[in-house]
Amino acid sequence: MLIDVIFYFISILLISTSLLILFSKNVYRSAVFLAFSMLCFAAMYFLLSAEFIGVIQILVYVGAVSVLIALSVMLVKDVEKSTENSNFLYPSAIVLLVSMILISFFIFNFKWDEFSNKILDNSNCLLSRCEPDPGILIESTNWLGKLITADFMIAFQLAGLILLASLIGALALLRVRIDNDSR
Amino acid sequence: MTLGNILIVSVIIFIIGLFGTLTKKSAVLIVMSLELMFNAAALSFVAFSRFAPGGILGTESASRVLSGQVMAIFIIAIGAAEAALALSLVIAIYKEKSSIEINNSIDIREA
Repeated sequence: MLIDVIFYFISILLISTSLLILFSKNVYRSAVFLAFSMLCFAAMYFLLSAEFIGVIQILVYVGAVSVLIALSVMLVKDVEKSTENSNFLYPSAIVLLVSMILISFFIFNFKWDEFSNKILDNSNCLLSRCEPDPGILIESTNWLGKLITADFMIAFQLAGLILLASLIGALALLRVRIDNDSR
Repeated sequence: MTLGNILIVSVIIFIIGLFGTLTKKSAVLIVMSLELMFNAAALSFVAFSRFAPGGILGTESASRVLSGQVMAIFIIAIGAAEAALALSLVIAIYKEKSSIEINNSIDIREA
């Protein structure tokens, strides 16, 4: 019961801060609301007993990405004009309406019971309340380390390679600009 | 709190992010909406991991239950890389054009 109340509270906070990102009048406020929204995501991960992911979310998104976005907002100084909508407002609203209708048709027509029986191994948590066995989630950080360094080793190395490539790409983009300025 | 509820929240956040990506003019707001979409996907991965059956301690059970959380870690890594690259691109465009509006006349080949 308590966990339901907390879940609905965090959901409402999450959705409202996500909407405020798009509809606030100042881009800097949007960046602050993005940090709030990422904190709500972290709270949701703690609620889903994924503590390690929640801590990583706070470290990476609230600590690094939000600060990066706020810094670039300060550097760009286009604050009052940049909350306008583009010319695509009405076409994209129509596209989103159609896709929402399709998604709701999918949700209502999908055979959830069959999915629960076959895929989720009769776990029954899909539409009715249940308390799944916490089991392995108690030691999830320990097992996550073992899993990343054994089963997902190649993907882990490739993620590091992508981070290195994006770092070099970001430096290269700005270095070319400085060369053009000095000419 | 069921799996269905969390998936519905995830879909709503994803649609908010898609709406922002399609309709906003400013490149910084588009980057923020992209981050929202990344996180909505990661949330649904973690939710499936939470409600996966079988929590007995063991290697086979760990790779079945915790794969969703590993995917969330990779999504966070890719999201951080994307944010750094996109924001440096935004600053490069701003130095070239003195504006970060995304419109038809934008040309970044010289940037």
